[in-house]
Amino acid sequence: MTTSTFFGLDLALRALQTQQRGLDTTNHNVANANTKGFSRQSVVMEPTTPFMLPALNRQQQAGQLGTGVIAVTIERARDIFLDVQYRIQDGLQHQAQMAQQALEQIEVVLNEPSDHGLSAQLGAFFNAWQELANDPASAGARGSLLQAAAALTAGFNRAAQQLSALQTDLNSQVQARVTEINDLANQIVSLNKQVVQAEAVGQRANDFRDQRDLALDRLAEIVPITVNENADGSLTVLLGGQALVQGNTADPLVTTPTGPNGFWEVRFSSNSAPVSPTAGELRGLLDARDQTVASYLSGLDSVASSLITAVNGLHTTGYGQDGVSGRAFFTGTGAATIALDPSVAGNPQAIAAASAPNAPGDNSIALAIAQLRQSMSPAPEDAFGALMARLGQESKAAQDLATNQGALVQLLDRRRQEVSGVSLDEEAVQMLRYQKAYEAAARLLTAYDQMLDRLINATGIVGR
Amino acid sequence: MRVTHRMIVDTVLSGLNNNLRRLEDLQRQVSSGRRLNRPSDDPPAVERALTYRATLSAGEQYLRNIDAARAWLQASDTALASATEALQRARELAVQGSNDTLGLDQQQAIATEVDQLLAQMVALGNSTLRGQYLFAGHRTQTAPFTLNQGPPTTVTYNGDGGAMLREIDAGVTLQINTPGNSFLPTVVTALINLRDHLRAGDTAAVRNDLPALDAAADTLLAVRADFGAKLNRLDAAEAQRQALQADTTAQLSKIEDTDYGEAITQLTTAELAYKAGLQAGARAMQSNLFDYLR
Repeated sequence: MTTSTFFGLDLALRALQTQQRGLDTTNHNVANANTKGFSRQSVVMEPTTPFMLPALNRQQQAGQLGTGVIAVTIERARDIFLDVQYRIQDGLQHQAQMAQQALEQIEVVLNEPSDHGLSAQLGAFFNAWQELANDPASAGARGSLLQAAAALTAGFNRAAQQLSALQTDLNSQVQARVTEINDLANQIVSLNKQVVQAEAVGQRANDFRDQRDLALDRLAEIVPITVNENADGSLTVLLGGQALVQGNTADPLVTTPTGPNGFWEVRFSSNSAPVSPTAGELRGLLDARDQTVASYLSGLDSVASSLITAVNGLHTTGYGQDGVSGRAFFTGTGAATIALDPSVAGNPQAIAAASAPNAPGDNSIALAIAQLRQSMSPAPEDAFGALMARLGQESKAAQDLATNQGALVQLLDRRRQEVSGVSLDEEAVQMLRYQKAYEAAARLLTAYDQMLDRLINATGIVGR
Repeated sequence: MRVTHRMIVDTVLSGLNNNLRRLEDLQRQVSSGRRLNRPSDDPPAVERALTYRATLSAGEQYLRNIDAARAWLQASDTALASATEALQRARELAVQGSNDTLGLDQQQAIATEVDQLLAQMVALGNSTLRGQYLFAGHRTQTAPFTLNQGPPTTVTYNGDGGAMLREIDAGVTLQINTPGNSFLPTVVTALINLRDHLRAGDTAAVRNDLPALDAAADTLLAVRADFGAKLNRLDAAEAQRQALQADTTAQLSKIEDTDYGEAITQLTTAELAYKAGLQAGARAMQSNLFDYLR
């Protein structure tokens, strides 16, 4: 058996096609050098099955004749173990960012240290009582006290209101993240289908896989996930042990209002199992909403409520200029509700500075209230200062965590880039390599052409 | 290790971003003059800053309280200084009136002057500061003393024994008033007796009034000595508080305000780092192998 006359032409054609495939892939890589989530691809070339060339004097083959090259498959460069590490750390990074942002907003709301914050207003309030104690019959001192007290209650109300608004905002972000999780789950489902279809016929669905990995990257920023690949190339994505995506189906999450505030609680739609992620943006948002902001709200409440109790405890025993006793100074139970008692608001004579009726020079109640500044345990300004110190420490710690975690994520991303990123230098070399191989194959084709020309047109002319 | 161009771009960007953030922070410190803008800038310093601010705010109030207390005590002391003078004049008159050689009309003339001193003494007992009676206890809106001409002439006290306390330092209170019933009735009674004895021409009785007048003067002096001691306490408390205020202000400024020397040095360094980063980045991103293929 000998090789076909045109064997060389076929071989050269395969070489041209295969090198062109290589050049096309290089082109694809260069085109996607800046595409997010893209993994560089490479053509896996293999020699085609060789011919057995029998020898003249024996049955056995004398050697194998190479038949050229074929592009077996196109691979993407990807390390799925790095993906797992990256996603875990990136989830923690995004959780830290949520915490940091919430604490930063609390700092903006409480605006300390400043000349206009709650601590300054508390000081001004007690000073106004001192002024009244200096001149208990003075209408001016009484008016100033009412103003200072109104500024203080407004300060508490505004802070409580803005912290509640922050909670509401975090709550709507929880809702938005759940919507995003469901969108991503649906994307992964449809990409699962495309991967399975493409790979059923033996291809590698590199670009679909890249897109699916990109969706997983984002999903892992929101909630921690475990990803398992099935035999057909589709993925099962587990969230807290329950499947969010299983091959062709997604189990979307739903939100239901719960608790006194009607805040969203996240559940799986199939069996209503509650979703309590251990990390990620969703965890960060839930913690900020239910713990961080809530704790500063209750801290403010406790400062306000102990002030209400202490001031009223003294004020109700005192007498106004009109000789009436038993009036409260404040109403309300916390930072959101603290207000001037209606019997005192707009009625400076009702302020009880004296411990007895008809004693205009008696300042004993006013002085005792002014002295609450030190005698209360803890003193209101100290309690507020401790709250601010805690806020500063928590916020600083959150900033540091977000920064450190950010550096770790950056490092892991670099390692992913080392594997999957497109290097233009590398692609330039590849381009040269494929181009030269293509040129050489074309040159070989010319050689065959000349050979055949000799055979067909220049051979056997003897009989002509 | 493979290095891609995107890795270089990412590294350059994150480095530039860090430098720029540092630069922004320093520029804010320099332009606002404040080092602390929110609790997380320096948590322990912020807690101290809040304590210092509370100390300053309370301290300013103590200084105002001291001023108010001083005004009250000075007005009280001025009133009693006049009372002492009036009493001295009464004693001089008593010495004159006890002379057996005086005629009846001369004694009557002296008695009239003593009567005026008596009215003046009651008026001094009703002294006010900005509309508040100084010696009425808590009943500062009611004239504490009324003279009933009689006979017999008596003086009634309409005030009470209420103490007026002012806080002059944290937890330190000072009683600034002395209810008039503790000293004025003795003085007034001595004057009433003197006048009545003069009117009656009873020189022996007038002579016997002298010890009572001296005792009354001693009473006034004792009250004024108390005022003086309290004014001294106020001065001491004020000096102490002012020193503390100055010290606290300096401490607060140290932790809250920008240290310009340090901040500007750091700012210059940060600017240099940022510019160096820009240059390095521009150079790193300039070329790749494609530039050299012909």
